Amino acid sequence: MEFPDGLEVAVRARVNHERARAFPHPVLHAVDADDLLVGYSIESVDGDVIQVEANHAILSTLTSPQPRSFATRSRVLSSEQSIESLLVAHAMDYVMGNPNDWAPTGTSAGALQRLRDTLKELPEHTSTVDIDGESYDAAVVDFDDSRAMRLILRGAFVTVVAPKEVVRRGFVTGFPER
Amino acid sequence: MRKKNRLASVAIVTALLVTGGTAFASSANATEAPDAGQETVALTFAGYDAERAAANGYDVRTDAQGWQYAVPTGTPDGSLVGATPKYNPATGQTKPANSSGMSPMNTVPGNCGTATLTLYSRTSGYTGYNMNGSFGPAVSHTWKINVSAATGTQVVDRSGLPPVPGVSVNWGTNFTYGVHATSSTLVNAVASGVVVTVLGDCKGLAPRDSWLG
Repeated sequence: MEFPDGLEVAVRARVNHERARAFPHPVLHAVDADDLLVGYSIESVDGDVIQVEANHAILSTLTSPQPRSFATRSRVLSSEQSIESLLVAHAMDYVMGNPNDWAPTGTSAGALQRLRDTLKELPEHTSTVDIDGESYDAAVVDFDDSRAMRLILRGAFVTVVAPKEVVRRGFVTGFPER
Repeated sequence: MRKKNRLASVAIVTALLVTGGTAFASSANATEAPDAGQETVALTFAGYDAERAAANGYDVRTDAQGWQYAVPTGTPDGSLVGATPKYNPATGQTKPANSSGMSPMNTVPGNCGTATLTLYSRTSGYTGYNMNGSFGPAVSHTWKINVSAATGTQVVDRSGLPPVPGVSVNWGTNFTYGVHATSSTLVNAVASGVVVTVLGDCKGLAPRDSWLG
């Protein structure tokens, strides 16, 4: 498939690839060829890397007016933040970055608080997810055709918010060759 | 009772951003007026990158007055078909590609779009950018939020990628911060960053916000 020029350049560059590899915790990557790994986003606080996000674009949506994207996040365990609140923040980013009816009509404090509260109130249940061929229990929240998932994996908070079929196919922690 | 500290004036951002034939309706630029504490500021163009532009199918050219612009590779010399806005590296100004370049009335501050910051709890905020596509879609960004209060300071770095690099013109993220604020602590934050586009760089002009309560 032909990418837009800018995307092809970005994928070749694979931003933050080496920094993500150096992160001492598992980073989840989607397994389907339609889910294109485009690079990594890094969060640091006062210079310390605390989170790696594997950014994916869904190839089959690139020709639509609003292409879809999703990310997996792995974060250093911390007593200062709950994984529940991290999942809500991740879900907010997903909702605000993808076409759907959940996005707020602005970024005022009130609009953001309302979205956070709405997502927090969605019912949660337990499901399993395949990671590196093994099955893990995860807490999940479903909305529309998407799933928000959280688990603690090998010393890291892991959250994923993606289309349900992406989560259903599972993930691998191995890094692709550059 | 929690209340927003009203510090900044705001600008309403555009409703629809279009680039390369692809339109994005952004959640961050829809119809609700931002609250008075939230700040949205200009994102200014910082110059063309000829090598990056070439990799993305553009030539960066310079007119007789020293203004730079980009055109699709293969565009005949002198043609402005498909040209991006002109940029003056000496003054930092931009102007439409088809203006004469002789009149100061045609010069405006460089403008790629807007950057925004909102604090919405003692530990949560939102920041991001909305580009207008004049200098191409975003490829990546560096983006830091400096948070300060009497109880502590923190620098949160959310550098990385827009949703679809090379296609998206908008990015935003909800972030958490920890400065040990209590109900009577005033928290101040300012975001700053550079958006790398397919043609050059755009710089955020430090949107600010505060939270009390």
